Amino acid sequence: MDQFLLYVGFGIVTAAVLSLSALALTLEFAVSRVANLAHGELLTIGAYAAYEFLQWTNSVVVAALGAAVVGGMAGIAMNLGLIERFAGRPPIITLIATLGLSLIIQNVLIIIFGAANEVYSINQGSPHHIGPFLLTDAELLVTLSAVVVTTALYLLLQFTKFGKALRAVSDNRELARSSGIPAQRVVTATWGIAGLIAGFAGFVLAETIGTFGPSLGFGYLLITLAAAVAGGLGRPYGTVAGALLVGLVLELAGAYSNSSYQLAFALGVLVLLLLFRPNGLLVSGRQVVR
Amino acid sequence: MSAPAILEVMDLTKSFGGVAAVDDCTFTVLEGTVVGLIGPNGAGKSTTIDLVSGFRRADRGSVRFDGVEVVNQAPHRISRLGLIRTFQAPREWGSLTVLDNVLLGMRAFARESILRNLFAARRMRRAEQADRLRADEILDQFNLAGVRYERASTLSGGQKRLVEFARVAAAEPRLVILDEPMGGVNPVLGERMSQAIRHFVTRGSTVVIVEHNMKFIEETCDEVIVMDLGHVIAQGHYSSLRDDERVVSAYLGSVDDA
Amino acid sequence: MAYWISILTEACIFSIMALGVNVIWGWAGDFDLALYGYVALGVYLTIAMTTGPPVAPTQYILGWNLPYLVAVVVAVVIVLPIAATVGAIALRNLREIYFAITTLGVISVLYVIVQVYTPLFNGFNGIAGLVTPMAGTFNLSYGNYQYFLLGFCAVILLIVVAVLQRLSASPYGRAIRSIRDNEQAAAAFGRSIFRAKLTAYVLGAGIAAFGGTLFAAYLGAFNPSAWAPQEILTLYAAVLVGGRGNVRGVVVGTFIVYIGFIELTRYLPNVGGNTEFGPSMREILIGALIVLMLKFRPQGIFPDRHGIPRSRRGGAAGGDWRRLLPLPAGRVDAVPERD
Repeated sequence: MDQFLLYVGFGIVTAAVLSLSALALTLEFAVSRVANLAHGELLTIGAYAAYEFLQWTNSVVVAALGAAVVGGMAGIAMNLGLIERFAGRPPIITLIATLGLSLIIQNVLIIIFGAANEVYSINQGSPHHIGPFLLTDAELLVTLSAVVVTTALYLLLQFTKFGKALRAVSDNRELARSSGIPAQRVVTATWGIAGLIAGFAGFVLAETIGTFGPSLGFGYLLITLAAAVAGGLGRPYGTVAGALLVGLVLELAGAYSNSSYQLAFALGVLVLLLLFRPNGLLVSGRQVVR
Repeated sequence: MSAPAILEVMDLTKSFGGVAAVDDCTFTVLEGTVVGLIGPNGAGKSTTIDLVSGFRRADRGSVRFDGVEVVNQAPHRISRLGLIRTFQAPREWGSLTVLDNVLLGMRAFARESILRNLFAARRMRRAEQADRLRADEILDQFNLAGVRYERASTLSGGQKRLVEFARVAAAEPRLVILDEPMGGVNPVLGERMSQAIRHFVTRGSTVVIVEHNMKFIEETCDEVIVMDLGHVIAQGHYSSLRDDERVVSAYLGSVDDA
Repeated sequence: MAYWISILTEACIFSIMALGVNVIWGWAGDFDLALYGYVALGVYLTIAMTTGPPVAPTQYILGWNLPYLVAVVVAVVIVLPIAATVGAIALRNLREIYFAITTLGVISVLYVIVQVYTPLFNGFNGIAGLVTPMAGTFNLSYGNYQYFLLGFCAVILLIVVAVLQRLSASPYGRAIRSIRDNEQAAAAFGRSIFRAKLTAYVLGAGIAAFGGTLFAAYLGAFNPSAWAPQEILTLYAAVLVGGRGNVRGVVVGTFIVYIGFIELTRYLPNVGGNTEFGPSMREILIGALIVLMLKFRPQGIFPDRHGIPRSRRGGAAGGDWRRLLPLPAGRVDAVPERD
């Protein structure tokens, strides 16, 4: 039982990182209705930005902020440079284009930074017992930061004018525009916020794994998609629950089987969800032609 | 002297999130007639035809087509029994030519097998000659001969409606359900569509029309079914329904307002 | 010279794989990301069946010492039910982005399993041992062999093209395209969407696996670093360039992409002594090609002209060169993008 709880603790840390990445993905989907397969690259860009800032200033805080800011800029650039240019096209066409973009970014990163893995020189701190869990300082900080970001996002969506506008744009961009909401600006800002979160998530992810390379984010894409789909694509409130589910499944599967098969379990969750709850855990299935 | 029933809908019910869109809907359509299905927006007409044609699953109830229970069967199975439906917006096969759209309406499924097309290609091609001749006739009839090799996606809205009708004509269904065939159609084309519908009947089809255009319903239909709040509230000849109080309050009144 | 022979051989093999993509995406309209997995299985199975039992520490399944041509048939036959299973799950009621995500999941998991589960195909180290298949039968010297292999692949490609061309122009080609264009209308006119899509999926996967068996003869050895799930993107680029749905166009597209984009980038200098530069530039070009084609000419250089008689096509097969120019915005041509 203790052992089990220990893994639940790790699962929560995993879920914390995952919920950041999945929240960003779901925000992108909410305003642009596209499953962004280049989402992983926002994380990778964030990880590299943090690495550079860390080399430069040796400050973890600056590295984290740098990752978020660079990620935010990359998110806006991605939206203006690619997604908006495919506005009005079928979602699947935009999806293919984002996959092409993912290939481009990964290889640009290889040219700039090389294909080899990098390591942050951040002290993980000593492990503490917190209730039944055993977590390092770094893991605690990661979890805490995810809670802070998620709460901030919740407050932003729920209680600000911007949040209301975002929800309106997500429901129906044309309708939002015709009722006087600056839809274009809301979309751009949302991509900026998604990029901020994704860039920070990239830093946090690379930090918890220990090493990272140009394919960091792409490797994390499927798990992110699983969490986002579990929460219901485009529904930020469900995403945290989705991330918790997938995070726990990953850690427990890793604990009780070969950890290399984690991805297989994530896929299992994803396929089951898509088959039985395609709109997310909290909503019942939709109908298609049989 | 009444004709046999071709479509018998009984107690058909479908709810979305606790709200019944179709609620104990019951009606009968007799063979060889043209029946209008009308009602205010949200009356459940579209859901009803989705349920009848198998595009949505019913919560309960029964749909007998030509004496066979078909409720909750897959759409293609119901279609193969001879019930063809159209959709509110024309759904042409856009990258295919107008001719191909009509040929697909003929539903020669046996000819679409991979193996037969690989090993008996010549026989398949010969078998299709007759269909092509008939397709040409249909294209002439709908004034589409000039665009037979155009991709359907390049046509105007009115032409797309005609392609849809041509497809139905090619299918020679036992029953056709037309979902708002007059949507976005000009009066001249409307006349051609009334003709086509009468032509369907002479070729042995029964026709159900969901439509908001009352003039079109009055001119075309033998009988009208009125729905409101998921129920059938009246059925009969158009002129008799005009004086029906329930219909007036539920429907005709709201049309006058609009 | 030997270099060009090997490139042409590769282009023939990749054309066959791209034709598999074309059946699933070009005709049936399903954006499948798992397809390169069927290619890889074709390669692995062929090598594993033509070699003898593994010698420790190497591990792999099969090891039957089968003749190459028998192994080709068996490999394809093994892949078909695997693809049918994936297709049956993914196509039942998932479409568009959900189908794409699911198939991305399938290939990712397959890749991990092949890497990690050593008893299957020897994990990271991969398997080897298929040397110049059929050389003995035809009494070929090593020098002649590569000419033979090119001829063999070219002939196979021509056969595959002829078969698919026949299907494309047939009522089958019409029906499967109608399902791609509008699924619900196709169902309303009696077509079983699930069955048609699944059949196309298995056919496309079978062609891809068949391409894999030829690739096995060309490569002789295979391991996880020789392929990756992203490999499929080059095939999509080829189909996009050639013309989605158009069988001959796809072959031309593959030759353009493989020879024009991939091989020519070999001559790129290593900027600043960066050895990653050349290979990465190639991938960047493929990504850019996909994005730009989708943006400016989604119907490809040689748009699919199914059902339009030759006399109305303007010139020889796809020979209207004005069509190479991007279309003015707003004009609708070729495949509408409803998938």
